[in-house]
Amino acid sequence: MSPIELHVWNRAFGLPSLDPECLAAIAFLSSAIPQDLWVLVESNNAGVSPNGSLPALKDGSQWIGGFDAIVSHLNSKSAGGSDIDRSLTGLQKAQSVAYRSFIRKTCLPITSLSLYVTSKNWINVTRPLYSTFLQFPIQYEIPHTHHARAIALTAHLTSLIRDIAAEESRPLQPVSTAFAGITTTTDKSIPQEKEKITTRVRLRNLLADFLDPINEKLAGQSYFFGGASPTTIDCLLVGYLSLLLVPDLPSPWAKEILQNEFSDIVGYADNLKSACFTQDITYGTPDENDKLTLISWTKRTIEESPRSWGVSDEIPLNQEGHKARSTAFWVAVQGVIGLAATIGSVVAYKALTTEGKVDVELKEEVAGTEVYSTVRGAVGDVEGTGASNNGAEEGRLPIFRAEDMLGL
Amino acid sequence: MPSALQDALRAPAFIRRLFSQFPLVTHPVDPPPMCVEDFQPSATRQHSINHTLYSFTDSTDSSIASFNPTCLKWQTYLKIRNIPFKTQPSNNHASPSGSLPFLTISSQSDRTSQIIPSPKLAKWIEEHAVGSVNTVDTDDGDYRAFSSLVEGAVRDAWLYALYIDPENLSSLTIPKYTAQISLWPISQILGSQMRQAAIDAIRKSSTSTLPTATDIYERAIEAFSALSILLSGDTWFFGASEAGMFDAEVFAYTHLLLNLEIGGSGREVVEGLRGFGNLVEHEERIRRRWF
Repeated sequence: MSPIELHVWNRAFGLPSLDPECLAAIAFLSSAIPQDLWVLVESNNAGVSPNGSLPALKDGSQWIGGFDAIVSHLNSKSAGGSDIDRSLTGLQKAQSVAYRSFIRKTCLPITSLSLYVTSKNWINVTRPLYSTFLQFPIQYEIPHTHHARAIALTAHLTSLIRDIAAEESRPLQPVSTAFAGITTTTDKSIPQEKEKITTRVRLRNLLADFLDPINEKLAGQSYFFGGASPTTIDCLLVGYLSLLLVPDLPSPWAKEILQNEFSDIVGYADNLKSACFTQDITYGTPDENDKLTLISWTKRTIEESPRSWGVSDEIPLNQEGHKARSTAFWVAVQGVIGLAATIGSVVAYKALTTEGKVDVELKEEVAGTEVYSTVRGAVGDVEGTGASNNGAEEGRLPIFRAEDMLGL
Repeated sequence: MPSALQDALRAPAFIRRLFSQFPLVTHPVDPPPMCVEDFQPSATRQHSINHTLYSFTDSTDSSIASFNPTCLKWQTYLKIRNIPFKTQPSNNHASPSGSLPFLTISSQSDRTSQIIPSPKLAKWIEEHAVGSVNTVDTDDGDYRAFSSLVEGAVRDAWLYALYIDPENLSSLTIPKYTAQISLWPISQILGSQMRQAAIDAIRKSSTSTLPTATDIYERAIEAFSALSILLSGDTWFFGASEAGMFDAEVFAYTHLLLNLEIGGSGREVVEGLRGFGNLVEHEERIRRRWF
């Protein structure tokens, strides 16, 4: 039996993936099933996943997309054998569901802010990172999509983003204000410092919104629900936390705040990280069909283009619905193109075969100046008809002849 | 020569005659506006309802539930905390913040009215209502986790069932939300705008690029199952002795899902919810007592 393949986004920052959900899936697989039963595939191809996002699991011919679906698939497949939540009580399982939703809701904006929206980090680290593992045209599209999503996720933090940007541009400011305030430079640094502090406090509050409940729940234990082994919620947490803790960024606010104020959480994440992201993960290579190639990428981009253009934005009942809508759109486009081509060719045929129009146009030019007579000679057979009609048609505007229009 | 200049600038006689006719009538000055309370003896003034909750609703009677979950949540919570108020059918354009509900309060002493938008309602209620025996801490981790479940998975299913499913959109959502402007093309345009907004909201909260209704409903039923376990055999959530904010929050969705006649694909999530007996009983408990 071939091992299960876990398809994820590329490794980065010394972590096995750059995406929190992919990291969570890796952590889950390494704690739930033996190492020799699965391989990690850095296919970077979201097209393989039935829900359009990585992580995706390939089990034989079956594809499962998304962390939650992967967890429930593996649990049902092994009849509970690989269920790392089996020792939890009913209430703890309910809490696990609730905290999953809580972590995604509160932490996803923070990781997006730190890696994608803080422009210093995006320009210097995250954006170039994509170029290291994606080929030429694709390396522009995929990071752009991820960046756009991160911006959408942090839309409610606009004023904070502005403050971070202002703080980042600080080193440039003394140059521009140097002339204006030679005497007051010492005074000026104080409000700036103050501003920096308020930005820091707001970032701290943002992180505390997410971390305080987690801290409270952990209460110094090494796993979320106590016990001796990680559960699903630990896997999800380590995915998100390690993206805040591990990357070395030029604007390292997330890391600094965590290390200064949430040392318990840092300790918890470090322990889990070394347990879950071991060095001996087996890497596999994707099948030819699952690879991210220029052809598969183009095909997917075309398939998804109705949605990205906003032409047929829709949430269908099931996965088949997405394909059906895309197909319907392209059938319609082909229909329109076909119709236009048919009409166009009929018009062109008529235009070219209606003699009057062609030679009248020529004649007009001829009537204008004598210079054209040599050109006319080169045209050949048109010369005869043009010359014979010359006298009769004189003085009319040839292109707008009503009978020609009716002749079509 | 001022007189000559004056003569030159003088309007013609007929215009002067016409203008001298104005004003035709001078009305007496209006008195400052009075309200009903001015005619009532001060004793009854204390008991009159001065608070108005502007929300998406069909009636001015506060015991008729709003058809919007957020509005219904605050309506329920105000009722739970025994604050007398009446409701006012309204829409987003009426709100200073652009979103409903908001509460207008008028104080008897100086007859000024004050507007409390929904984000500040909780604080206002805490300051003005009689203390509650429900002492559930809204900053508690579990509270916030389960609350994010209601605001995430359950809300997404609600949005899909009511706004995206074409059957319910045309039979429930459009007639209810555009009751005040039931002109044909406008209600249809507003309907499609609401639908697009719902699609965007679901896309934003989803971790998958291609979300489907099946996924959304499955997640909602998983959420209801978690809420059902949380409630277990208790009367109110978190084992409180009196209903609180979280009860209002859950009731807002369960009441509407169970009592609106939701058709189409939405039936799936309603049937799923009916499977959790204690949540259905919890809904009934609040409905019987306050609505």
